[in-house]
Amino acid sequence: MATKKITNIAVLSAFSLVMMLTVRFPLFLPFLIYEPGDIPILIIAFLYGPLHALGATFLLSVLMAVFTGLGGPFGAFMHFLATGVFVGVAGYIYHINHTKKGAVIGLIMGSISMTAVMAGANILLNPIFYGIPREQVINMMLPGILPFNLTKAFLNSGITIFVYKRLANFLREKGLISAAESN
Amino acid sequence: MLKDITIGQYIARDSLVHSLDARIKIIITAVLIAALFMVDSFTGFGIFFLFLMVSILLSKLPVMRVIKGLKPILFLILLTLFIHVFLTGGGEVLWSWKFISIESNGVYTGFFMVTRIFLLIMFTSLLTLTTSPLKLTDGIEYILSPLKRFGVPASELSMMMTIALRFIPTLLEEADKIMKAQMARGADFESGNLIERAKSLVPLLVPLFISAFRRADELALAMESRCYRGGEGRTRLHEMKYHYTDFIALFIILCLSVLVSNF
Repeated sequence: MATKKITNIAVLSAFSLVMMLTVRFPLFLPFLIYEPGDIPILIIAFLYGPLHALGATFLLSVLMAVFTGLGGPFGAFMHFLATGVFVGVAGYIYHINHTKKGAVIGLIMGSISMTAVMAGANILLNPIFYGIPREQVINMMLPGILPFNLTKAFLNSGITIFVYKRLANFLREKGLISAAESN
Repeated sequence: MLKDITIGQYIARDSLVHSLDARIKIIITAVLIAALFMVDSFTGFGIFFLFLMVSILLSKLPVMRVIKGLKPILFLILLTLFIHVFLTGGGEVLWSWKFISIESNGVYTGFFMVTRIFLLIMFTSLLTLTTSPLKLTDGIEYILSPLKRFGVPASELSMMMTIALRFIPTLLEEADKIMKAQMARGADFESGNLIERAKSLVPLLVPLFISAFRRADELALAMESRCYRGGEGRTRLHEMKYHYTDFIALFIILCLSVLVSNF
């Protein structure tokens, strides 16, 4: 792996954690907190592909658990699952279809798969982790969990689309990433 | 605003728990987490609680500092308790008022779950309080290294983790600076509807992205001029070595976990 790639992914993962720590506000329910931490990881997915983005997500989740204690070990695991599915799907689709349209479709599909997987994971794992009965989790689904994940993913997708093209052009112009890495 | 974020939990002490090998400590934590999920009585939790107290004493950490590790998830604990006490039914009715009633099963399950979460968080934060992030990173690399055969770049991952650790404080400071600079120009990060708040993030994100890439570029240059060439065949200054105490600790915890999870 090129040294440049290693440092870029590392610094962007740190950036993601910093965004999670500095910008946070609740959406819908007080314990569902929006944070823009997915944006730098999505940029990794677009620059380097889905596998690198998954690596970065793993890295980020470990750092989150080890370094900040945000949400404890379950929180880190759920974050890995959510962000992993999101950036994995978005990065994969953008990699097959390397156009602006591909990026938009990838982000939309990523958001939808993330919401679906998180719905399943919440129903399956919350009773095990917190002992919250399944019916209660399902009751929270429509007013909270589903719209929260979808809104969060769409907001982050929107910002990523807005930022990515300009950023990639700027970086290539300045020689901060090579032309082969993104187009 | 950024002052009240605690980053890095490690507290250096000269103690038995600190001196255990990072790999062993990670495995021990995993064993304890598994065991805590198998315990189904308060007796079992009681034994683990005693064990936790002994470990905290052995680690010479200030008890208050360990308890502070609960702060980020205090809300979650209270929520879990609340949901169980008010919504889980069954058993004796202890108290009721109009449509709200508190029943004995709910109280029992509530406290049971809260005890489990409490112990889980305490044991995992004991790991991060007594192991420096660099040692933890090394430990994670060792634990992931069997996966190298399947193409997982374990040593690159741990290198990235080390770099990321080093950059978190720098980027935090920079985020703070850019936020203040944009606020001085009239940017508003705190109010407005959802779309407005999301839009207000762009003037924060773009400069941060650019500076992040700049820093990564400089670091890559510095690493390459010092002949960094990836994980293959790299040697270390500080080799990790197992001591007999590591295996004794692991043995004690395995025995304890097997015994207690049968309670």
